Amino acid sequence: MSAKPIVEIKDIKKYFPLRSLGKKNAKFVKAVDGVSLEVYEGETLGLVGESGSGKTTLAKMVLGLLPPTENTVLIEGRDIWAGKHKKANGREVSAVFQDPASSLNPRATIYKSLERPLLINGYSKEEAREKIMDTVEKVNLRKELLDRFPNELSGGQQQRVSIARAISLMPKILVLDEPTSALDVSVQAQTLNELLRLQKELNMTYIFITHNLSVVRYMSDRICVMYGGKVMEIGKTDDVYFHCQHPYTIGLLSSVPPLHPKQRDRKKHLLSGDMPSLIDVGEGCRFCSRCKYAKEQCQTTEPPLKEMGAGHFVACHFAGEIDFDAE
Amino acid sequence: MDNKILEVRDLSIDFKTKHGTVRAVDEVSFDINRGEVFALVGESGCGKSTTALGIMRLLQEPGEISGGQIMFEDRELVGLSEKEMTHIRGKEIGMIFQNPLDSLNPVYSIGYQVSEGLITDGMNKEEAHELARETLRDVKISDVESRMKSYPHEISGGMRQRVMIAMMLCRNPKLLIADEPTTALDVTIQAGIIELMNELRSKYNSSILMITHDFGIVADMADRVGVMYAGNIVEVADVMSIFDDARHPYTKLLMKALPTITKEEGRLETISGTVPDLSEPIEGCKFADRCPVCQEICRRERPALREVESGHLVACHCQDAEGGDVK
Repeated sequence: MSAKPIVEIKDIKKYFPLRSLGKKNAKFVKAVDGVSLEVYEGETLGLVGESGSGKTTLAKMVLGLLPPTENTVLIEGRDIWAGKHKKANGREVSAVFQDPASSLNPRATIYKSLERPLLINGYSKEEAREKIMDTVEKVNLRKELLDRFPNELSGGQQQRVSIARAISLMPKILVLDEPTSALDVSVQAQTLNELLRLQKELNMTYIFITHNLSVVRYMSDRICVMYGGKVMEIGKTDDVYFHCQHPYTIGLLSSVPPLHPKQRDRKKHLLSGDMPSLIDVGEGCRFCSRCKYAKEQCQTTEPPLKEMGAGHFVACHFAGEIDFDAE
Repeated sequence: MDNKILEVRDLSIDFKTKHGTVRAVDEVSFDINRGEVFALVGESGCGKSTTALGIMRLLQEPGEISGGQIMFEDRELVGLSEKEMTHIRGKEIGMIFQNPLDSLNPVYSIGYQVSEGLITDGMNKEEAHELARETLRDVKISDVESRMKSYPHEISGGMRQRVMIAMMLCRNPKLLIADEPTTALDVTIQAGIIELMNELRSKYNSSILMITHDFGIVADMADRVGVMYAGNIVEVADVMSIFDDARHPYTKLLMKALPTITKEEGRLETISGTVPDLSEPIEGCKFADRCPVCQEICRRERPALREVESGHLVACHCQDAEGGDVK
């Protein structure tokens, strides 16, 4: 892993206005509220968190699909939201989404679906054909499938088509938004292995969004835990997985079902309650309403990200001071 | 004999389509003992949900039970009239479905929906409401009084699933069928629901048939497990044996496909090929095409479910006393 950041995000914000209140006293849903991140070339950054934590919104801003409210995204030092074409193009960033069936046009053959982005980006028909054959081989898709329609393919094959389409323009960054959560375990394993192989071959950088914590551990070099539109903890996979210091991370990790029935009696740090509304966020820590270690300070001041070890940042006033095993 | 609450014998369910008959469930047999959690696991399309719907006699056209028996206590459910079934559904066998929003009626209050079944059973309104309140407290819903008056859209997904569980439990059914009850929920909420079900299980002493594709949930809850593949049960054993001593090649491979490692530690095992097309009759073992230890006999003869150890049943020709090995 080189130390060169390919994606830089500084204090990015995305607020969605609530229309019903009119312009005057408009309120906002603070979906992403001041996230700073760097993604390094060739690495996989896993983004985890519950639904509504802002992972997908963040990814959409990197993809150039959703303009940020404040601040911007730099890809290789270039501001993708500046200038005339306010979009990152598919040559740099590409995406694979959760449900492969709904991300493919049901009335276009697989070939047409793969050809379109190439034609838009200035390939001639012949060049596109060559490129498609090449890409299809890379993702191990049989050539006879090219003339079929999406509904004739299995879920795993559909997802491989989505991956082929995403990598055909040789992007440097691939955003994977829950790419395997609609797939069965055996197909999931195939798809994950395929993605790891492609990453090595094409030297791509992955931003891997998921709520499946075992998948993220298998895929990622670093993990970023989000909650309520903020980063709670970020660090190397093992640091976050085995030496997590944020009460939310430990709650999330112990919610994962065990790998073996022997672990039924494991110590659990279950979270109670639901994620609070992101409309009227209080002054303090986002997580304090569900945190059993919360003190007065947590209600009033928002904790900054503190460095707890090499590249391991935690947004908690008491990071490192809480003994999760005590009780 | 008296210890068994449900006995399914050679149950077959056919779907007659214009492209031929699809046998979604093919001579499936298993029993559930009193007070036990029996998990039926398998990948999508293996027939686990169809089996559950068959037991509840809720199959929709063109699906129908084409053979076999379902003995619930001492009654045969196959062949009962719709009227007789109505007395069993909900009252004696309760069912929880995957998506709680689809299973609750959006235009009635929670209190009405939970007590409705009780009133049908002949309880008067006050008693029914009191029992509904009590059960809602049991499933850890806070502020029960105001929740009774809420509508499904006003409460969170986890709470809806708790309401569904309360709705089933208040009629105290002898058997509870849970069809992927946590699939639509976040891991943190899922952990809460599983904990709740484990607690309630001892309090209400109900038997549970758990339908899931997640081995984590199996590890957390089940006493015994049945693994399904393409409409057949391929292995039945207690939960420890399934995790430590799986005998069927499919179960073994599935276990190794679970992402339990990091990418530095190696690659996940994959199962090559896809599930066979069930609209065409298959001779021999349905897993033969994907099986790494497939032999000639596997293509000719369908292996029967045989007991290889006390309580451990496997449908595989390569299973002798000591067990064939996968790679």
